[in-house]
Amino acid sequence: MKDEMNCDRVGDKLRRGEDLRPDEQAHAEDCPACSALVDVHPHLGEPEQPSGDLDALFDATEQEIAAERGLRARLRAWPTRRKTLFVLATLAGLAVYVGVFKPRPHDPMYSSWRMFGTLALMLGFSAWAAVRGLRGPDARQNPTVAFGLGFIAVALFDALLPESPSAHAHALTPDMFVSKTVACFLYGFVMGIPVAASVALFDRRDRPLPSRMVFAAAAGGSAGLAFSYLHCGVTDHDHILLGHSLSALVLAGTVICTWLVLLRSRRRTP
Amino acid sequence: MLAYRDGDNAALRALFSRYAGPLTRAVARMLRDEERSRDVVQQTFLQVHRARADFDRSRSFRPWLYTIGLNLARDELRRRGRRPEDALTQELASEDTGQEHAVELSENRARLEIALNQLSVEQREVVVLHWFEGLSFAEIASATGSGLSAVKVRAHRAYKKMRQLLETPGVTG
Repeated sequence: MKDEMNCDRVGDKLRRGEDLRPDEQAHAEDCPACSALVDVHPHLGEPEQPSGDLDALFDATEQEIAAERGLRARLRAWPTRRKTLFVLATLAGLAVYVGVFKPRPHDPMYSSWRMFGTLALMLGFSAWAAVRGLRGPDARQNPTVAFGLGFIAVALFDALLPESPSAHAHALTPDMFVSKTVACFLYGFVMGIPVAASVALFDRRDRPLPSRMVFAAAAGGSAGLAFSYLHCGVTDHDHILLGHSLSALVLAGTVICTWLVLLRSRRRTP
Repeated sequence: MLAYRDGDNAALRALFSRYAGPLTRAVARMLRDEERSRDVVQQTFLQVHRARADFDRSRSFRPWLYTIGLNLARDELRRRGRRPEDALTQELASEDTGQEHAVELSENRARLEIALNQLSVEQREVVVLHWFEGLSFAEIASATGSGLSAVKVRAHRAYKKMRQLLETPGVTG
C-alpha cells in the first residue's frame, strides 16, 4: 500500500515538474515503473486541453438519454443483480419441474444422473455468468448474463413441450444416419438464433452483435445436436428436433463462454 | 454519481463537466481521431446511464467511467481493423495534409504521438491514463480489469520503450 502511495506521489510530482524528496527518489530507484517514468518524463510533455465544444456534446448526450424509453431501454437498465435473480429463479423453476414431473422416467437413457448432470451444468454456467456480471460494468459481461437468460428460456420452452407419443428407440441405419445428422446440424444452427436474439436484447451496447458470437452460438448448437444424435437411439423426428435442445444449448454456452474467457485473458496479458 | 443513480438527473451535467474533457482526451489519444473520440465519449455516458443501477457505491466513479470508455475505444479499434498508427502515418504522409500538420503539430508532439502509437494497445492505455490523465496504478488496474502488478509491468515496459523510441533519432520520424 505504501508503495502505491509512493508511486502516486512520484507520478504527481513529475507531472508538476517538482523535484523528488529523498524517500521518493529512493522509491523511484527501486520501483521499475517509476524508474522508467523518471527517465522518460522530460520527453512526454504535458496533456493538452481537448478541443471542441463539450456543451454541444453534452446536449447531444442528453438527447440520446432522453430517447431511452420503452421495454428495451427498461430491460437494458435492469441491474445485474436483478438479472441474476431472474436467471436463478428460472433455473429453480426448471429444477422443480424436472424433479416433480420426471420426464421419461421409464427410459433408462434418461437416468436421473443425466438429467441432473445437465441441470448442474446449466446452473454452474449461469451462476458463473451471473458472478461475472456482478464484478463490474464491463459491457462485455452483460451478453454473458443475457446468454444465460436466452439459454434458460429456450431450454424451459423445450422442457414444457409434451413428448411425442410416437417416439421409439430403434437402431440407426446408414441412410438415416446421414439425413438425420444433417437435420441436426441445421436445427442446431437455427437454435443459435434465439440465443443471439436474447444477447442482442440484453446487451447494453447499440451496435449489432459480433458475428463471431452468433456463429459460435449456432456452431455450438449444431455440434451439440449432432453429438446428442450420435449417442441416442431415439430417432423420431419430433424428438430429434425438440428433445436435444437442452444439451445443445449447454454446449453452445460452453463454446461462447470459453471464447469470452479466452478473449478476456488475452486482454489481461501485459 | 450516487445522486444520479438515485434519480437526480441534473447530476449528469456535473459528472459530464468534470469527466468528459479528460475522457475525450484519453480516448482521442487511443483512437487518433478526435471526431470519433467524441462519439465514444457520448456512448460512454449513455452506457453510464444504462448501467447506473449497477454502480457500486464502494467504488469510485472515475475508474468505472474509464472502464466503459476504454472498452468502447477498444471496440472501435477492433472495428477499424487496423492499428491507429496507420491513421497517423497516413495523415502525415498525405500531400494534402502534411504541410498543415507540420504547422499544427510541433515536432516534439508528433514524435510523441508516433512513439505512443508504436506501443501495444494495453501499454498505450497505461501511459495515457497514468501520465496524461493522472490516474493511479490502482485506478488503472480497476479501469482495465487487470491486476495491479500487471499494470506496473506494462507501465515499466511502455515507459522504457517510449524512452528508447524518443531518444533514438530517426525512429519516430
